[in-house]
Amino acid sequence: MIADKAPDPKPTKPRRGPTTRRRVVQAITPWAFLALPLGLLILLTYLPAFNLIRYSFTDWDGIDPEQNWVGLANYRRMATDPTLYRVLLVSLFYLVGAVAQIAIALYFATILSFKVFAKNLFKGILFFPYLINGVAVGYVFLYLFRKDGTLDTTLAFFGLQDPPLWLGDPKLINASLAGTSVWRFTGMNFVLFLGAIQSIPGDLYEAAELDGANSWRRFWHIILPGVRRVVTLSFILAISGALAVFEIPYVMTGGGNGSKTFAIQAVEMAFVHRKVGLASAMALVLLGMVLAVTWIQRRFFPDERAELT
Amino acid sequence: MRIKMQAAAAIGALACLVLSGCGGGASDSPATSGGPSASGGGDVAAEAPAGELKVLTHRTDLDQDGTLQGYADQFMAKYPEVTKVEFESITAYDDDVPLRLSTGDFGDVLSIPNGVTNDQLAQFFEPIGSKADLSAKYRFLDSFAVGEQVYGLAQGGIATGVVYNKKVFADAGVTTAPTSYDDFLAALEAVKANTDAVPLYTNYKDGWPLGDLQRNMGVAKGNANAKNDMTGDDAPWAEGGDAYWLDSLLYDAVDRGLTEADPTTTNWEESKTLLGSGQVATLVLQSWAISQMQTAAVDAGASADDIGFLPVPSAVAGKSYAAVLGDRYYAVNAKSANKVTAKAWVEFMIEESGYDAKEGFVSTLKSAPLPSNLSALSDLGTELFEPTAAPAGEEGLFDAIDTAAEIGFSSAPYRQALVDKARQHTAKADAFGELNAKWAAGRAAAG
Amino acid sequence: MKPILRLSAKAAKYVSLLVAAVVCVGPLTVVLFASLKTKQEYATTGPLDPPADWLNFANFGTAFTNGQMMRGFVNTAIILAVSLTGAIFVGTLAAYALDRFAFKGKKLVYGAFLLASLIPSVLMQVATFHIIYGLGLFNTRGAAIVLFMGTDVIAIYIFLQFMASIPISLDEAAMIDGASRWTIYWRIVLPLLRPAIATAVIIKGIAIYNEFYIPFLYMPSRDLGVISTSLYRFKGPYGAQWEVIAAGTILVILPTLVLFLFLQRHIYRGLVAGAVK
Repeated sequence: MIADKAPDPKPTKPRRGPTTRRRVVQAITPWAFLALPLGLLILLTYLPAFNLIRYSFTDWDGIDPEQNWVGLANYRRMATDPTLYRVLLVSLFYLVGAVAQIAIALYFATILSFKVFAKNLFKGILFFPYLINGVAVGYVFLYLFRKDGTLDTTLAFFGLQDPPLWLGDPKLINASLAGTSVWRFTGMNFVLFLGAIQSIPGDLYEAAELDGANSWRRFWHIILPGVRRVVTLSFILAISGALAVFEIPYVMTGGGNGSKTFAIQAVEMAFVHRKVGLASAMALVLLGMVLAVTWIQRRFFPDERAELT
Repeated sequence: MRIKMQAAAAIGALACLVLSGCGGGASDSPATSGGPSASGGGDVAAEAPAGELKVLTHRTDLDQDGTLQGYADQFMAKYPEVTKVEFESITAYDDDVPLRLSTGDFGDVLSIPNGVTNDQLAQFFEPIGSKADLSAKYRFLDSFAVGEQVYGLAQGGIATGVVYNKKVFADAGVTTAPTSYDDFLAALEAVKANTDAVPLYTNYKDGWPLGDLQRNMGVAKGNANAKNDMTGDDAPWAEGGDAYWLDSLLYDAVDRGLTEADPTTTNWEESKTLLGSGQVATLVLQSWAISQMQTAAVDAGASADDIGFLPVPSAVAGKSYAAVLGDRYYAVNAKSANKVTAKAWVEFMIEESGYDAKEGFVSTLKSAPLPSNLSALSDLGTELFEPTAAPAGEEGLFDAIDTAAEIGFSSAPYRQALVDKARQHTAKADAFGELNAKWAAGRAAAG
Repeated sequence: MKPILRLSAKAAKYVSLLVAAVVCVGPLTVVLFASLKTKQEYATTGPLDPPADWLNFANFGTAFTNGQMMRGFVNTAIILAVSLTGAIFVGTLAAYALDRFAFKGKKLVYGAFLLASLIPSVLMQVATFHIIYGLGLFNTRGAAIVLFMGTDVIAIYIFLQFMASIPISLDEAAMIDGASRWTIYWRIVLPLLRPAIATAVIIKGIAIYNEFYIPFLYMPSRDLGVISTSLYRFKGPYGAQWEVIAAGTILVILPTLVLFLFLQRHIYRGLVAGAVK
C-alpha cells in the first residue's frame, strides 16, 4: 500500500493472524529498504561522530591505545581560552569574499538571462572553474600569486610596477586566498541564480516590457523577488562555509603567515600537538556554530532550506 | 659518544626496573611490552630471512627513482628466500603514520615518525637489543631507547651546520669562515649589501627544514645536555639560554630582512637550485644536504666546489660546535609476522646497502670512518658532540612538556609563527617571552 | 531610454563579460603556456609569453610517466565506477523508502541525513580513520569507495525530488498485479528515475574526481594514487620545475573540460536540482 498517499483499504476478512503479520510486514518494509543507506550513514557518519564526542572528553594523543577520561577539561579550555577563537577573524575574509561572490554571480546571471551574444560560451566560461580539481586550483593560483608570477606580470603590463607580495604580505594573504575561493565558487552561485531567474514566468517580463520598465526596474521588481530564496540560501551557506573553510588555505599555504583558519587550527591541534581530545572538542564547537547558523536561518526564513553545501 | 657508554653500562641494572616501572605507570602496556623484550635478539640467528617484507619510508624520492628497489634487489640476492620487498613511501609521513600506529598496520619495517614519544615505543616496536650489546657496533642508540632497551637504529648520522655558496661569500667580501654568531650575521649583511643573493633561505613553505632546526639545540654553546636541561628550566628562551640561541639565528635574520622576501612561496627543490646557482647564500641544514646541494650546483651549471659547510654560528668566543645525531631511525613493527627478515633488512641497510655513503651520512657503524663531507668542520676546529640521552625514567618528559605547552618544538608551525612575528618586527623579547610562558605552563602541567 | 545610453549600457555589459571571461580563463591559459615551454624557455620568458612551440608536449610526457598519472586515472576510474553504482543504489533505496512509505521515525531518518550533511567531515577524520581501519579497508580502494558511497546526501535529495513526480498510480497498478515492493522499486521506480540518476552521477562523479583528502589519508600507497593525490605528490620531486607541474595540472583539468563540453546541460540541471530544494 502506498501508505502515506492512499487510505488503507479495509481488509475484507478481519481475521487476526494474517492482519498482524501484514502489519508487521508493513512496518518492516520501509526499514528493509532503509537498512543499507541507514547502516552506512550510521557506520560512516554517526559512529565516528559519537567517537568524536567520546574523544572530546579524553586527553587522547591519537597514537596511544590508551585514552584517559578528563571530563569537561577540553570544553573548559574552549570556554576560557579566547586565543583559540582568534583565527575566526580569518573567516571574515572568506565571508566578505562570499558576499562579493554572490553579487558577481547575481550580476552575471541577470545579464546572461537576456539576449546576449555567445551566451552559452560565456555561461560555460564563468562556470567552468567550479569543476576544476582543488589541487589543480591550488597550483594554478600559486603560479598566479608567486613573485614575478602571472599577476605581477599582468600588472607590469599595465604599468603597475613594484607589486606587493600577494601571499607573503600578512595583510594581503587572506584576501588573496579568499579571492581564490571567489574564483573557484562563483560559477556555482551563478548557475543556481541563472536557474532561478529562468524559472520566473516569461509573461512577467512581457508585462514589464509593456509598462516600459527599464532594466534596473526589471531587475528590482521582477528578478530580485524571483531569486530571493536562492540568494538567501546562498548567504546562509556562505556563513557556514566561511566558518569551516579548510581546503584552499591548507593546500596553498598550509595555514602559514596568518592564514590559519579554525579548521586548520583543529587539525594542527590533533596532528602537531597530538591533542586529539581537544581537537575533537574544537570540531564539535565548530559543528555547533554551523548548526546555530542553520537554526537561525530556519527560524527566520522558514520557507527556505539550507540543506546542502 | 665516549662518556655515554660507561653511563649506559652503569644504569644497565636500573634499566629493567625502569622499564617495568614505565609499563606500570602507563597502565596499559602489559599487553604489548614484557613478552618480546627478552627473546628479541635470539631468534635472528635461528631463522634465515625469508618471505615478504613491507617497508614504510619517508623517502618518496628514492622510491620514485628506483633507488630503494635497487637495495631490495641486493637484499634478495643475499637472502634468496626473501621473495618480495615492498615499499610504501608516504608524502606527509609524520601526519599519516602516527594515525596508523595504534592499528598495527605499518609494514614490517618503518622509519619512526615524529610524534611518537619514547614511553610509547614499547607498544609499537620490537626491541632490537640492549644498549650494552649494540653499543659495541652502533652509534646513535639513545634517541629511541628506553632505559637499556633500544627500539630504533639510525639510518645514518648527520652533523648540524649551514650549507653555503662559497662564491657568493667571496663576492660579498666575506673571506674568513664566519663561525661566531656576530660574524655570521655580519656575513649575511654583507651578502645583502654587496650581492643580489638572498642571504639566508628559510624554506618556510615546506616547513620541515624549519622543524629540523631543533637539531641545533645546544649547538651554539656546545651543550650536549641542552634538551635535558630544558626540562628543568622555566625560561629556556631567556637571553643566553640554549633555546634562545637556537631560535635567535632565525629570528634575527628574518627581523633584519636577511631572508627571502616571500616565505610563503618557497620551495624545497627550488632552494637547492637557488643555492647551487648562487641566488641564495646560506641554508641552515644538516650535513646530509651537502651532497644534494652539490648535485644541484652542477645541474645549475656551477661547480660542486662552490658548496661549503659551516658549523652553526657559535655563541662562545673562539669555538664552534656541531651536534652529530641520528637522522631518521628504523624500527621493526612489534606486530610484524616476519621480524627476522625485518631485522635483517635493518642490518643490511645500515651495514651493506651503501645508503649512508650515498647520502653523505655519518655511518651508524662505529667502525666506519667519518664521511669526507665533515672535513670542512674539522678544518675549522669545530668540536663534534653527540647529544646526551634523557636520564632514565625521563625519556618522555621533554615531549610531555612540549605537548602540554602546545609549542611543537620540532614542528614547522612553531617556527613559521616565529618567522611571521619577526617579519612584523615584533620585539624578540616579546616573542620569546611568550614561548617561555607557554613552556613554564607546560612544565607545570606535565611535570 | 536614449539610444546612446542604451548603447553604452550594452558596451558596459560586454566589457564586464569579457573581463570576467579573462579572469576565469586567464589563470588557466598561462598554466597551459607554461606547460608547453622547455626548461630554458620557461626560465627566460615571462608567464604571459606564449610558448615558442605549441606542440612541445615533452612536459606532458614527463608528468604522465613520472607522475604515475596513468595509474591515477585507472584508480580514479575504478573508484568512480564502483562507488557511483553503490551510491546510486543506496540513494535510490533511501529515497524510495522516504517517499513511498509512511512510517514512524520517518522524520527522524530524514533529519539524520540532513544533519549528516552539515558535519564538517575534515574534522572527523581521526574518528573515521579507526572505523575504516576496523573494516579492514585502510589502504585499499575500498576505503574511498565506501566513504563516497555512504556519505552521500545530495543524491538522496535529487532522487526524492524526482520521485515525487513519478505518479503513485503506477505503484498501485503494479501492486494490484501482485508485485512486491522490491519489484516495484527495481522494475518501475528505478528505470523511471533514469534522468535523476544521470544528474546524480554527474554531480557526484565530479565531486569524486576532485576529492583530495579522502584518498590522501586513506590510500597512502603509491599504487593507489588517484588523480588528485598523484598531482599532489608530483609537486615534491618536481617542485622546482613549474613547466612540468603545469603540464600535470593541465592533464588533470583536461578530462573535466572534455566532459563539461559534452554534458554541459546535464551538469547545470544537476547542480540546480542538487542544491536547492
